[in-house]
Order: sequence, then C-alpha cells, then structure tokens
Amino acid sequence: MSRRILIVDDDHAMVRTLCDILRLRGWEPNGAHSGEEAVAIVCGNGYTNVLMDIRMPGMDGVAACKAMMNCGRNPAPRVVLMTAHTAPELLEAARADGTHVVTKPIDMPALLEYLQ
Amino acid sequence: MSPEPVSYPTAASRPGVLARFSLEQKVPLVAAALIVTVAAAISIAAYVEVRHIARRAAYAHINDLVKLVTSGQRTATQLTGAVHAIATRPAIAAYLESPTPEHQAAALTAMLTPIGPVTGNVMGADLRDENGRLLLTTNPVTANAPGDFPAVIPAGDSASLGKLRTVGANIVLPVSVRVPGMSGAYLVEWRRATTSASANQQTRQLIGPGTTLLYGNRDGTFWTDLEKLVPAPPAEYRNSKDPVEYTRVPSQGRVVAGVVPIPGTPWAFAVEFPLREVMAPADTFLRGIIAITLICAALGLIAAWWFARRLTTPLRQLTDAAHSIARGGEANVLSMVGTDELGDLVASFAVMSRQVEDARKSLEERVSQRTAELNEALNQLRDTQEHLVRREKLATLGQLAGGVAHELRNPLGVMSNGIFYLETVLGSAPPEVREYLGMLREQVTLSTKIIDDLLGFARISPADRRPVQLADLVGRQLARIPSSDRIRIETGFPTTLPPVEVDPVHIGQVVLNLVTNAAQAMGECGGTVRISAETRGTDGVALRVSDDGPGIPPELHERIFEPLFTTKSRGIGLGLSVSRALVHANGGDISVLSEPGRGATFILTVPVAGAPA
Repeated sequence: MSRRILIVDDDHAMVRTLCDILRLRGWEPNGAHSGEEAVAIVCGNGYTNVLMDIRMPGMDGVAACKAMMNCGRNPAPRVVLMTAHTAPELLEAARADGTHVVTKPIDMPALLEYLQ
Repeated sequence: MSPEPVSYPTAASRPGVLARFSLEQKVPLVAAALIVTVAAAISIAAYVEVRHIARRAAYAHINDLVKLVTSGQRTATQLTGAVHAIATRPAIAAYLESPTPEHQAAALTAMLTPIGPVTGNVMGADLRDENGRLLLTTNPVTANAPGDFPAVIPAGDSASLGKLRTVGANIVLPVSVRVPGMSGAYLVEWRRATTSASANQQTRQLIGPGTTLLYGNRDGTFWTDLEKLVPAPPAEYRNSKDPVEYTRVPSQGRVVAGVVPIPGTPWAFAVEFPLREVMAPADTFLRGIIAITLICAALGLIAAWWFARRLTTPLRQLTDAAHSIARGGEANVLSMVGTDELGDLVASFAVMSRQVEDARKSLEERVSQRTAELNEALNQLRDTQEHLVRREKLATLGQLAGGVAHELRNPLGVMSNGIFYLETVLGSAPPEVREYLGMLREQVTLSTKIIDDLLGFARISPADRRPVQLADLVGRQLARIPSSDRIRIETGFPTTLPPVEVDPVHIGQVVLNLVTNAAQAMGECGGTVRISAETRGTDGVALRVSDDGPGIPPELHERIFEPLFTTKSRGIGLGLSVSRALVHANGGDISVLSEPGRGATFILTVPVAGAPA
C-alpha cells in the first residue's frame, strides 16, 4: 500500500506541521493549499490518501472530496476530512457518506492509528 | 382621574338680558315687577274712579251750597221794600215840594232813619231827579263817588238795584226807589256790601271751611269776598246752571264753583271750592295705595326670593352633585329629600347617581380587570419578545462562535501539531524541555476546553472534580489578570479553610468571570475587589467576591443569571449563566446580595472535599 498522502489546508502552518509529523512516521506527504489544487494533484498523479480541511476558500473540502471520487482514479483515494467545527450534527452530516472526519486540534495518535 | 373643566351650553347663542341673572335673582325681580304692574294698573283705575267720585261729590256739594246761599239771601224785594218805606215818609215829599231849610233838615233825618230789619250799612242816601241829578244827599262822599249813576228804574218798576261799586274802602250797592206821589224823584240809598270779619266768619262756618263765597256784578266788575275786592270769575263761567271748574286766582289753584245770577239784580254770586281739597281724599287714597303697593312688592320680593331659594338650593346642590360625579367623586344628595316635584327630582337624581356610581365602579373594575389582563398579555408578549431576542442572539452567537471556533481551533491545531512533533523528535531531551512541552499541551487542551464550554454551555462537560485549595485556585486566576492602578484586589482566606472538591477549570473560569465583572462594575473610578471565603455549615465553603460598584437593582438579582441577559454595553451575556451552570455542575450554587449604590457581593458556595454528595 502506497504511503503517499496529500495534506490539504489553506493554513500553511497546519500543512507544514502535519507533513513533518507524517514524514517522521514514515509517510510520504505532500502539501496543497486549496481544493482546486488538491483535485488537480489527486486526479493527475493519483494519491491513495488525502487529509483535507473542510472549510477552505474557493472549493471546500467536501466538494473537492466528491471531485476526487469522480475523476476516475482507481482505486479511489482514501480521504480524511478535518474540521474546526465540533457541532455533533455537523460531524454526523460529514460522516454520513462514510468519510472519516477528525476535529482540530487533531488527536494525532488516534489519526496515525487510523491511517495505519 | 383629573377633573376636566365642564362647560354648559346655553339655550340660545345670544342670551337675553334675563339670562344673565340667576333664577334666585330673576324670580323675585319678575314677581316684584308683576306685583308693581298689577298694583299700578289697579291703583290708576281706582284713583281715576276716586277722583271722579270726589268731583261728583264736590259738584253736589256746590249745588247744595248754591241752594243754601240762595235761600239765605235777602231778596231784592226785601231790600227795596225797606228803602221804599223810607221814601214814603212825608218829610221827603215835603222837601221835594218845598225845599226849604226846615224841610231839608226833616228830609235828611227821614232819609237816615232806618226802618225794619235793614239796619246799619247805609252809608248815605240821595234824592235825585229822573236824570240822576243830585237833589239832596246825606253823604257827599257816596253821592259823588265815581261811576255811572246806575239806578235808572225801568218803566213800570217801583225800584231797582244798581251795580256794585267802591266808595273808599267800602263796596257799596245803590238801591233806588221812586218817591211816591213825586214824579221824577228817586230816593237812592247807598248800602255797604261788605260785612264785618265776624260776619264773614259766620258765613264761612255756614257754608263750610275752605269754601269761598263771592259777590259781584254780572259784567265782571267789583267782585268781592265781602271783605275786599277780588278778581271776578272768568266771563264764560259767570252764568252757568251747573258747577264749573276754573282758575280765578293762579296762586289759589283750580276751583270747583257754582256761579249763579241773583234774580232782579245785575249781580251774581259764586261759591268756590278748591279742587285741591276736593281731590285731597283721592290723593290720600293714591298715597295709601302706593304705600300698600310698595309693601306688597317688598313682601312679594321676599316671598319670591324665599321661593326661588327653595327652588334653586336643591338645584344648586344637584349641580354640585353632578359636578362631583363628573369629577369622579360621590354625590351626596340624600340630605335634601322633599315631597314636592323637587323632592322627586332629587330622589330620581339620587337613584341616577347611584346607578352612575355603580356603573363607574363596575367600569373601573372591568377596566382594572382588563388592564390586568392586558398587563399579563403584555408581560407574556415581553417574555416572548425577550425569548425571540434571546433566540436571535443565540443564533447570532452560534454563527459567531462557529467562526471564532474555526479561527481559534486552527491555530490551536497547529500548536498541538507542533507540540506533538517536538515531543516526538525530542524524545531524549532534558526533563525541563519535556515539562515545558507538557505545560504547553496542557494550555492548548485548556484553551480547547474553554472554547468548547463557550460554544456549548448547555452541554457543559462533566465536572472533573478533585480536591482543590480554594486560595490556590483563586491565586492562579488572579495571576492571569493584568495589574491595574484603578483596581485593588484584597483576598482573605482562613488558613483553616478545608479544600473543596471542584473542577478547577470550571471554578477557575467562574472566579475569573466574577473578578472581571467586579472590576468592570466599578468602571473608570476604580475601587477594591474583596475576595474572602468561609466555611458554611459542615460541608460547604462560601466564596465572596465584593465590589464598590453601583450595585444591582433587586428585580435583576435573578435575571443576571439568565443566558444572554446583560447590563453591559458590550458582552453577550453568557458569563454569569455559564458561571451558574458551571457551579451547578460542581454541586454548588451562586447568588448575589446587592443594594443599589452600595456595591454587590457574589456568593459562590461549593462543597468541601470528601463531603457526601
């Protein structure tokens, strides 16, 4: 299984810190800073794992996730969404289609375990 | 209810003269005027009638007097008879036949010797021929008195009476008779017509006081009241069968008179009676009736005034009562119940005023009831409005909190990542570094928790209660507050204070909130925040936070703990409600003591560590 993972967030510091942590744990992370950029990378190069913020300027995480699923890559990438919103109903809605959602600040041990 | 000015419309746009007066003035005036008018009409009619009667009585009196005087007069025959008797004396005839001195002396004696009842009053006697020429006289004064010789005896008559004339101070009348047997010779006797004062007095007594008896010639000359010459009655009244009225002497006024010719003579007499005296009873009657009229008018005035007062007093009281009702007071009309129409009116008014009063009270009750209902509805509406506003605030707060949470959770997430990275790469770092990293992680976790509490104060996380020294907890929170010149903070904790069992994050947030509120309440002037604690009962500790601020009105003591209620110009009104929720979650309670102007004290009660739950 590929260890490549794309980190998508409009917050550069978030992308940087996540990339550093995942690299430490043996992953091959790359960063992107918008939904459009992420969709282009995933659909062009193919990524098996994507860790993406929901709320971003322009295309948001949910729309980008759908675009990645529908661009014909096989296998479709595994997407984990991040959000600063903690309202239970919001989380329920985001998880409705089977997508994994984590809240910020991210519980890193739990995330790493999930990704393994 | 404030009394409103009451205006009463007048019946006519231009009130008449009478309308300016009150009934109390009008009724007596009208009554007096009526009395005076009726009395005056009756009086005038009676006066005219009395005058008429008096005049008729006066005329009858005059007629009686005329008869009396006529019957008392000596007739011309009586007068001439006496003179005729003298003329028959032989001495006179003898003188006329032979006028010798001896015959003359005898004739003069005969001429002056009176005969019968005709005595005195003879001033002189003449003998004259048919042309009036003087032949012999006993008194030259009378014989030569001025004036026509009047005693021309008509043919066939034996004697005649001449017109009156004056001789000196006397009024005299000539009586002529033919000297029997001597053709063309006449004896003329001059008799005094005036009488003595006593005789006149007797005459007046006879004809009555106030009556004047006059004699004079029919031609208007030589009229006398038997004492002196007087003006004659007007010519047109000198020969009248009926009594007449005229003014003879202006100073004596108008008189009622009878002017009657004396038969067989050129004379007439007049009986006069002053009209003033005739009318005196009528005038007396008039004065009396005027006095009676005035008395009646005065009595009528008083009676009408009394009646009008009796009429207007209840009316005025009714008016006052109506005004009283109009002002919303009660009308006391029971004191003036009578049995007449006014009494009925008053009774009706009393009934009406009671009904008005009842209606007013019932109306007031209904109004107050309706007002209470309206107030209740208004309160419900206000509550609903506040509820809506609160929901609106909550919705806004939700949006705001969402944004803030996102913005804060992102940097917290970066920090958290950074700490995780450092802990991973610095596995062999010195213990101090690892300790500091732990402290950082703790603060990030704390911050995340505060955000969670803020967002979901209704879903406050379960309290993580553990024994805590209240003084330490408070000290840690005070250290987070920047020092200020305006605000002094005094703390006083007994050393014997037992530890309390609370979530230090929860209660720390509450303490921070209370101290911040206290500092804000004292505003720019600043002041002292006093924090103290004491045991309460066996299983509680009370923490007091007091300020010198303006205090909190009693009606707000509960409301300040409601979510989104705030008295500050800034703030979302969550602080105290979150505090109360947090304290409740820790098994404690929070309340406030305050009087406006005397600061506020918040009392936080928490359980002692180890106390039974």
